[in-house]
Amino acid sequence: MEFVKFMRKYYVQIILTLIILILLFLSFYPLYMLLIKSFKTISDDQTNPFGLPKIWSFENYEYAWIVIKPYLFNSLYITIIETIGIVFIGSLTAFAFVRFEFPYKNIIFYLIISLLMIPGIVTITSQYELVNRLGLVNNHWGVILPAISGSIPFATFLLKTSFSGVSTELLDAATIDGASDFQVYRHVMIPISKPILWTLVIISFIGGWNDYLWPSLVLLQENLHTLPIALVNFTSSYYGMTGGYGAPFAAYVISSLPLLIIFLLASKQFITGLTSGSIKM
Amino acid sequence: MRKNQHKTKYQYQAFLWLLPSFSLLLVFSYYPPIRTLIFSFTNSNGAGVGKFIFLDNYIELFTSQTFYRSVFNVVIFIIVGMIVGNFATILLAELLFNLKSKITSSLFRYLFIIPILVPSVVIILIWQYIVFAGGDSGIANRVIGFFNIGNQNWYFDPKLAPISIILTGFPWVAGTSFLIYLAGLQSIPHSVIEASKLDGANLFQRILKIDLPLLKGQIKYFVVMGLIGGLQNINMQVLVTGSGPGTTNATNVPAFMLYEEAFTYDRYGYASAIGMVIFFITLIITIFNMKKLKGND
Amino acid sequence: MKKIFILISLIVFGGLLANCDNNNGYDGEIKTIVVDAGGDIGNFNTTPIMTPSEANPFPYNTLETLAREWEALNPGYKIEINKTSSNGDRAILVPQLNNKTAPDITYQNGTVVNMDLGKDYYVALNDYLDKPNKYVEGNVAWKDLYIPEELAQNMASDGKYYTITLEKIPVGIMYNKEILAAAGVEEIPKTYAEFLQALSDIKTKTDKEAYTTTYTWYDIVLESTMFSDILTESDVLTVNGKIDTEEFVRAFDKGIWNPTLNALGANATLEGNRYYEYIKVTKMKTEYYPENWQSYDAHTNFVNGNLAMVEVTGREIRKLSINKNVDFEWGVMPYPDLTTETTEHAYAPSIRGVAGLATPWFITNSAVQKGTVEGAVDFLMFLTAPENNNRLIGDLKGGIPLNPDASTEIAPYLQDLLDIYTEDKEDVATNNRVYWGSVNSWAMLGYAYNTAFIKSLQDIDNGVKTPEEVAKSLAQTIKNTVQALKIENNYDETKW
Repeated sequence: MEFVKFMRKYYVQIILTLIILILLFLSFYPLYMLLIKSFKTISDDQTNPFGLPKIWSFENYEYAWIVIKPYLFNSLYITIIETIGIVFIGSLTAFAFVRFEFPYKNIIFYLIISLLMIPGIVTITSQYELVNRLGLVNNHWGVILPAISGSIPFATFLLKTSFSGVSTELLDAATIDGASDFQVYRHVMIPISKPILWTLVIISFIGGWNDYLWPSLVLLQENLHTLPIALVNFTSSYYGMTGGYGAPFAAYVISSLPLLIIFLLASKQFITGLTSGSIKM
Repeated sequence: MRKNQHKTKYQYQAFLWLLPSFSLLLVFSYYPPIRTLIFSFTNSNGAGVGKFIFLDNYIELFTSQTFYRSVFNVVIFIIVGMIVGNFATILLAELLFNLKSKITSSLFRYLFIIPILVPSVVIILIWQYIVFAGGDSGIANRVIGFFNIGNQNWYFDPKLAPISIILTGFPWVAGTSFLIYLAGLQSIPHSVIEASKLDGANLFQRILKIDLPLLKGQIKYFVVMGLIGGLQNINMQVLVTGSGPGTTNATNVPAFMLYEEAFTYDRYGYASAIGMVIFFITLIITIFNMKKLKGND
Repeated sequence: MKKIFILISLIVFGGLLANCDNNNGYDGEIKTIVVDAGGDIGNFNTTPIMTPSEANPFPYNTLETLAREWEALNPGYKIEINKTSSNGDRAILVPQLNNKTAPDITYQNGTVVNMDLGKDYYVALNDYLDKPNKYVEGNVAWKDLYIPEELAQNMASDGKYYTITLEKIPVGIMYNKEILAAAGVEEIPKTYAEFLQALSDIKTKTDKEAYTTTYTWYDIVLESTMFSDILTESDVLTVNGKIDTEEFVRAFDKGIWNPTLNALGANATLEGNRYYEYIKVTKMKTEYYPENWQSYDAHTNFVNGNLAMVEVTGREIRKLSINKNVDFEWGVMPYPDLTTETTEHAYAPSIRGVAGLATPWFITNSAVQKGTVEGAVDFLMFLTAPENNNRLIGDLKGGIPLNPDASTEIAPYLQDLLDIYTEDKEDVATNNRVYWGSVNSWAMLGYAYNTAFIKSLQDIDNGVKTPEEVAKSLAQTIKNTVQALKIENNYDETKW
C-alpha cells in the first residue's frame, strides 16, 4: 500500500527521470563507444566492434598526440585571438551606440544588423578572392579577420541590448567624477556586463574552435591547419594506410579535452553565460 | 519616435569608437556581397574576372534540375530539423524544469552539457564512422539488426541519406538551445505556475497554455537562427555525403551546390549567382518572418 | 580569473612565436621545394613514429631520407615534405593552383589533367623527358625509364606530359582459399565466365559473401577487352598503343567507336550498341555483391573470413597482409580475362597483374613562381632513377618500382602479380594482349565524364536507373562531351 501511494504521488517524477536517463544514455553511448574504440588495437576492433578492449592499448594515443599536437595549438591560437577581437570590438561598438548621440545613429545601427541576414556562405567566393588579394591567404589572419568581422553584427546586437539595460545614472555619475569615456567603458560598463560578456566569449570560442569550412579553404599550408581540418585528414589517411580507426579516435578524444577542461574549471560562468542571454529575449 | 525639438548635442567621438568595427566590416562584410553580385553576371573562375555574360548564369540556374532538387532538400532539412530540434530541446528543458529536486536537475543539466563540448567536426566524424557506419560495425545497423532488418548504407543510400543527416548529432541538446529554453522556463514567475495548479491544470495543459507562449521570444530566435544556419551549414555534405550517392543529388543543398561549383568545378560566376539567389530567399523569408511574428505579439 | 588570463597570454605569445618561426624559415639563396607526397597506393610522408607497432604497422621515412641525400648533392635547394597529403582533393588544390600557393610538387589524380588545360597550373615536361637522367648510368632520355605504351597513359589531350609517375600499381583479386575450397571451386578462375560461376557457387554453397570491390578497376579491363579490336584503326594520330582523347573524338566522328548507335532519341532500341553491352557485362558481377555493398566494409569482412574475394591494389594487399586477424590461407590472382564465353565482343584481353603507372606527381605553377622548376625536375629524376626508386617504392611495400631488378626487395605478396605481368608483356608484342587502359573512354574523355560514368554505374547498383537508361544517358553525355572537346581543342581534322 505504501508503495502504491508512493508511486501515485511521484509517478510523474519517475517518468520524467526515466526519460531523462534514456536521453542521457543516448547522449553518452556514442561517446562511450568512441572512448572504448580509441583504446583498442586495429585487429581487436575489427573482430569485436562493440565490446571492451581485450587489451587497453595506449599506442593509439601516443600516435595521435604526435600527429595533432601542432594543430591543437594552431586552433587555440586562432580561436583565442578571434574571441578577444570579437568581444573587444563588439563591446566598443555597442558602447558607442548606447552612450553617445551622433548623426544617422539609427541608420548605421540597422546597417550593421542587416548584415545578419546575409548567410556567410553566399559571399564565400568573393570573400575568398578578397582574402587572396590582400595576401592573407595561407595566413592565420585570413581566418581571424573575416571571423571577427562576421561576428560583429551579432556581438553588437547582443551587447547593445544588454548595455542599454545599464542605468544611465551610473554612467553619468562616473563622468561627473571626471572619468573619460574610455574609463567609463572600462571601469563601469564592462564589470557590470560580465555575464553577457561571458556569453559572448563562450559563443565566440565554441564557434571559432569548431570552424571547419573557411579555414580549410584559406589555410593551404598544412602546418597552419586547424584541428578540425587535421582530424579529417588524419582519419582518411590513417584508414587508407591501415584499415583501422584507433589512432584517429584517440585524436578525437584528445581534441574534446580543451573545451571539457575549460568547462570543468569554469562551469558556473559557463552556464550563467549561456543562459543569461536568454532572459533578454 | 517623437521628434526631438531641442538641439541634440552630438558626440562625434562615437565615430572613433566605431572605427575598428567599421573598417573590418567595410572590407570583409560589405565588399564581398557587392562583389558577388557583380561576379554573378560573369563567367569568372578562380583565375580572374571573366566576361560579362549577363543573365546566363541565372538562366542556367533556374533551368537546372540539380538546383530544384537542392531547394527541395534544404526546405525539408530546415523544416524537419527545426521541428525535431525545437521539439526535442523544449522537451528536455521541460523534463529538467519539472523535476522536483533542484539538485538532481542541476546535476542532469551539467551532464547534458558535456556532449556540447565535443567539437562539431568530431561529432560528424563519430556519426560517420561509429554510429551510422555501414556494415556490421555501426551502432545503427546493430540496433536495426535486433529487428531483423539488414545493414543499411545510411549516408550513402539515396533514400536514407537525408534522414541520416537530420539525425546526426544530439537533437535534444543541439548546442545550447536546451539551456536557453530551460533558463526561459526558470524565469517564469512562480506565482503563474502556482495559479495554474490551483486552476486544476495538469502538466500538459500548463505546458501548452503557459510555458510555450512565454517561450515565444526564444522560439522566434531559434527559428530565425535555424533558418540562417540551415541555409549555411554544409559541413555534412563537405565531409561525408557530397551531393548524394550517384547522380541522385539526394543530399544536395543550394549552399553545397555553390561550394562545389566554386571550388571543385572552378566556376565562380555561376556560384555567385547561386549565392545571390540564396540571399534573396533569405531576405524574403526574414522579412516575412518579422512581419508575421510582430503581428502575433 | 588572473590565472586564466596569464595562461591565455602565454598561449597567444607561444602562437606568435611559432608563426614567426615559419615566416623567417628559408631566406637567402637556398630555394625550398615543397612536396605533397601523396600516392595512389600509399603516401610517402614520414610516419610520426618509426617504431612498428600495431597502431603503426608501416613505419616509413624513405622519401625523407632520399630528400636529404638529394640535398647533399644539390646544396642550393631544400626539400620540405608536407606532413600529410591533400590526397588530390580538388577543393584544396584548385584554389591553391589558382593562387600559385600549391606545393611545388604535388600528387593528384591523373584524370584531372585534361580539364585543367589552358589554366597554367602545371609545367609541361616533354622537353625534360627527352633529356638524359643524370642519375641513371648510360641513360639517353629520361623517358626511356618507362615503357612507351605505359607512359602514353600520362599524356594530356594537348600532347604534353604534365606528370611524372613514380611506380606501377599491382591490381588483382585477393581470395580466401578456404572459402573457395568450401564452395567447390577447385581452380583459380581464368576467364570471366569461370569467375562468375565461382561467385555463384560461393553464394549458393556457402554462407559467405562472394565478392566486392572498392573501385572500378575491373571495368577498365573489361572495356579494353571489349573494344580492343578498334585499337589499330583508332590509334593512328599518336601511335602509342592507347586511344587518347583526340583519337577517341576522331573514332567517334568516323563511327569507328559508336556508343550512340541506336541510343539517342525517345525510341532508342540500343540494338547492336556495344557500349550498352559493355555496361551490362560490368553489371554481371555486381549481382553477387553483398547487399548494400557501398558501405560494406570489405577489408574488415575479408580479414574476419566473411568475404571470399575482394578486388585489391597494392595498398589493400599491404594492409591485409599484416592484419592479425587473418588466420586463413589467402592468395592474389589477376583479373580473369573476358572471353567469348560471355559476350561476342571479346577481343585481345588486357595485360594482367599490373595496371600500368601510378602516383602521378605534378610540378605546379608555384615552382615557376619561385624559380624552383629545374630543382624540382632534378629531384624527380633522382626519385625515378632505379637505385633510388627501388628503395622509395619497395620500402612502402605496396607498389612495384618502375624498373625493379633482381636485387630489389619486392614484397612477397606482390611477386605473383609481378610475374604474371612480366609474362603478359611478351604477349603484347605478339598482339595477343593489349596494355592496361588502352581503350578506356571514361579516363580519356575528361574528369566530368569520368565522374558521370562512375556515378551512373552507382545509380544502377542503387536501383535508381536501369542499364538501358544509363546507356542512353551516357550516350548523350558522350555526344555532348565530344562536341565540347572539339570546340575547346580545335582539332586539325584534316589530319584525321
